Amino acid sequence: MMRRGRTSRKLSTAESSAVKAGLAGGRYRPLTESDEKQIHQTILDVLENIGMGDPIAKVKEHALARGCFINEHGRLCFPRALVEDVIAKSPGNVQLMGRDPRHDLEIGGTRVHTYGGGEAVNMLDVGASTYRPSTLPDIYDAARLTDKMANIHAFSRLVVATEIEDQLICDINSAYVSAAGTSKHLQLTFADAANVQPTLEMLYMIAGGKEKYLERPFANGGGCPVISPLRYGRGNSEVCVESIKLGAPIWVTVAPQAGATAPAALAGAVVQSVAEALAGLLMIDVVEPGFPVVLGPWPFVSDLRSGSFTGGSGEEAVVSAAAAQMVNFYGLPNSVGAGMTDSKLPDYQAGYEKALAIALAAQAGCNDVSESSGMLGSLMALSLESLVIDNDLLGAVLRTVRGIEVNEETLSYEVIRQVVHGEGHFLRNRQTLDLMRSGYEYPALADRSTVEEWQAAGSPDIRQQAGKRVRSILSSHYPEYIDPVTDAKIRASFPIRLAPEDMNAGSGRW
Amino acid sequence: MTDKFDNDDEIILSELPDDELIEQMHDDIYDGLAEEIAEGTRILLERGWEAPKVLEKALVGGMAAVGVDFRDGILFVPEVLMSANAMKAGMELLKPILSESGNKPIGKAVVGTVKGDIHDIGKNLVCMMLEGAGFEVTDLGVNIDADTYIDAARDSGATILGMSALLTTTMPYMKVVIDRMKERGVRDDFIVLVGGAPLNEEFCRSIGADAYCRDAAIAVEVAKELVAA
Repeated sequence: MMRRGRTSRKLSTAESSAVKAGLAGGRYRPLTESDEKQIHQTILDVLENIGMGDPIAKVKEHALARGCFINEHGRLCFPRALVEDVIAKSPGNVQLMGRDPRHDLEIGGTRVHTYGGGEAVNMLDVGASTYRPSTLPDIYDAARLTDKMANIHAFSRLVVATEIEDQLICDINSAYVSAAGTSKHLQLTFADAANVQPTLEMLYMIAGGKEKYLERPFANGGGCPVISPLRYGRGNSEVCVESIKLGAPIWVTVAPQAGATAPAALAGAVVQSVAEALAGLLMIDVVEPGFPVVLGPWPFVSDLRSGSFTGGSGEEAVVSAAAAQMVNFYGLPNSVGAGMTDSKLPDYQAGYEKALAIALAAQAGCNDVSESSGMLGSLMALSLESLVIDNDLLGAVLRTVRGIEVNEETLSYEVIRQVVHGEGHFLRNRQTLDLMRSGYEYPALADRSTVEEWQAAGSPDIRQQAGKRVRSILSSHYPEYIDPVTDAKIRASFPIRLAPEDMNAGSGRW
Repeated sequence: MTDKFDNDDEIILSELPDDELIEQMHDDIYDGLAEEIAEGTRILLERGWEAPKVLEKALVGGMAAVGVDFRDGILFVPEVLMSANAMKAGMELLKPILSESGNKPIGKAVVGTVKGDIHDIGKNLVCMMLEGAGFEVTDLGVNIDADTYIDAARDSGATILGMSALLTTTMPYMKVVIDRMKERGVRDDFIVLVGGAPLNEEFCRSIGADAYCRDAAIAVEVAKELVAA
């Protein structure tokens, strides 16, 4: 029988960590106060004088009733007073719930979370050097893996089930395997507004009924409703509005590309992306005033040598941080894309590109640092090895966000005095023992062994180590988040394409 | 070779003999100078040059260097667009003459972004560069369904059908278009080129397209190759 001391220490190691979801960021401010004001005024000018093209009928109707107008170019314009009013009244603190309340997230302020993004169509398998099309089991695996990653706070559709041609079946199955694989909050995507209600029926079953679901809605919906520059896209606008039914904050993301669909001047890219994100908020607000929205102005950057998107650049890092800063200026929940490396492999390039962007966004106090786990190849692929390495990266970044607590104790005058007059070192000091777990992040994979140890182990690189961890988790972690009775009911009502045999350790897939 | 950094006022195009004028026009296309190209084109026509020769020697010849330097990363996309614009200025003057005399372009193409997708920058670049290479191009726009592609290709007498997609969720539609071509018995009448960020060779082969074009410059080369074959 183990001594209680040892047992309780083991327990605390497993659960404690130097970081957690919702640490306060905001110390990094790429924009000065004067910059913020000028950008704000320009955003109001854009929305009032240039406006948005092609609003869907429902939105146009409600917007005109709220005092918006169609200008001489036929565009829907938003009076600045209305915009400022909506910004002031829109919920600044919103909740995203998990199936498990431990995973509930309080989104708002400058509290930093890291999750979201995806929709890639390729997988880079463990140990592989070529890509293959992604499939439904990949979503399931990504969900199970994310379930075990402390620094990935929610789950979104990281890859698309490219083998499923019917978009309704695809959306339903993606939601199903996500809910089966993790008890964290699910950020869902829908190819068509018509797919929302059927998926919702399934979510009700999982929750144990419509009422139970709406009490604690564990999924949200949203989309990218703007075709930059400044035009509403019908399909996604309808999905965003329909997502109100999910009863959880709607995620609205816009991604104009600087130099291509947004100004090449980074300040202009911030102006346009935030204006477009606000146009998304306004679109929801005129239909359902006060409904919570997470604004995602994601200014993308073009490599003008080829015109294509580059996520790994310094420009991307700083412009995304600035976009987050602007939405914080408004006091509204926000997300930006960071960690969008252009590297095709989990390598040095991936490391520095991801770290740079994720660190700046987190330090700017972004509420949802999205695309920050597992993405490679300019968002074209998911790598599970990358996902687990990114969990460590996120831990280190979050530790910098947590920062340094300065108080009488941590200033350590007494401790210094004691040690200097006493033992002459700090290793056995009470303070060191107290802080060594709660104050320090320990990465699962980064190699900190001695050179000899490392050579003796066969000179492993981090990708190899990551692969082992992926296999270890995925071969054993088959959670039962949907009980067998509910599962049978779901399978009887919906065409589920992942067989029960593939959802347990006996499947041999890992 | 005239120094690019010479004061432009000192270059009087009409005073240059033919071979020097062609060289200057090549430089002006490279530099994206639309007015100068229009002027040069007019001068050559006034001197009795035949329209197809102006097109081939002055305009298409000038775009060749642009294509090469773009692929080598020396010229950036915005510069290429300026060059294509300059080329277009010359083309505007030649088009009426070319169509009157029944002259054939190198080839005809219809290009569009697939149904469900509204991204068009890449497609626009391809259209401009194909025109720059002497193709007659019908830009169908975005959100194009299978029958629209096929009808437009048939009506314009095109040999090339180009499809673009940026979204991972819309690229499968390319297969729908190709299958519809087979259904209508016209698959073999057209060369199908595909492009867009999420695409690759494997996808192109799996849907039965003829070639995957990684960028606009490659699209032009492939188009020229396949049309000549």
